[in-house]
Amino acid sequence: MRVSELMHTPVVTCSSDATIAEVARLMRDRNVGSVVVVDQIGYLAGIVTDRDVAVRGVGEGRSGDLAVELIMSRNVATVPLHADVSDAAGIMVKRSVRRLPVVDEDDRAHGIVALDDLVRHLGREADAVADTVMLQAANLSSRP
Amino acid sequence: MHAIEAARKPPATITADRTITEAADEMDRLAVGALVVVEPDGRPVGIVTDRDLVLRALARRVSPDARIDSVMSTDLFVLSPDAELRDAYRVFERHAIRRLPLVADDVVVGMVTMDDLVVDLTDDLARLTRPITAQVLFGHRETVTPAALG
Repeated sequence: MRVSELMHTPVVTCSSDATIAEVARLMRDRNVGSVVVVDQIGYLAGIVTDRDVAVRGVGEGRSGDLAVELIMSRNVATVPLHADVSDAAGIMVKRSVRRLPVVDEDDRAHGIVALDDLVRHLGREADAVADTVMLQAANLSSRP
Repeated sequence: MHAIEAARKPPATITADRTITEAADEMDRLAVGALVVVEPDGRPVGIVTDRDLVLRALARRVSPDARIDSVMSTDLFVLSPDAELRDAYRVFERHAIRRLPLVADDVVVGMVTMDDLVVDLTDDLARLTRPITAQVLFGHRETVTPAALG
């Protein structure tokens, strides 16, 4: 299965001069755990998660007026639009992240895929296999 | 399996009178996503996650010097460390939460997270697939039957 079938759309974005208090409200109002930071022409500049905001933005000596570009992660781990779910899992392991923007050739984010989505996908697959096993067991026991 | 065996992180707590800023620093220092909020005598009264600090404190412009118990969740679900892991699944499912403090005699002794359960489950699944993989690769080994032994 392709990541594009699992990803969440649309991507919630902000500009790099947004404050972390604004980002916090975006996360609350749009019910997301990460916001993609884009430059003026829509290219990916960074990503910020709720945890980044909490530990880099709420800790000692910080304030809600801080610009998001000061706490965002640059050099964002991404996954291509046409990639497979297992590719996404591999990238998450390699880069130690739980969320990947799904990007096209121009590095524009079309969606976000999270580790939770992969786990849910795995659960559905395992469930389908279990159903098959149950069905075969039922067929065997009903044989004359 | 007992819940305590699946708990991979040590119990992380913070007393209710500490500040939001201190909670953020503590989460960073301990590399955890949630702290159990406790009274000075250790009795758990709530839980606060990194996301709570963002949505409830920062988004509402609550002062970072405010007490942590002003932004914690007070509907705290806990489990006995001796409870079966299956019970944890049930609580997670019913209440749509991801973390469950393990409490014995009013003291927090651990924390089971959804991540712990996923790791545990996939470990089991991997162990289960090993014999199947072996059979696919090497075929099914014939056992010696009494008839063959004559």
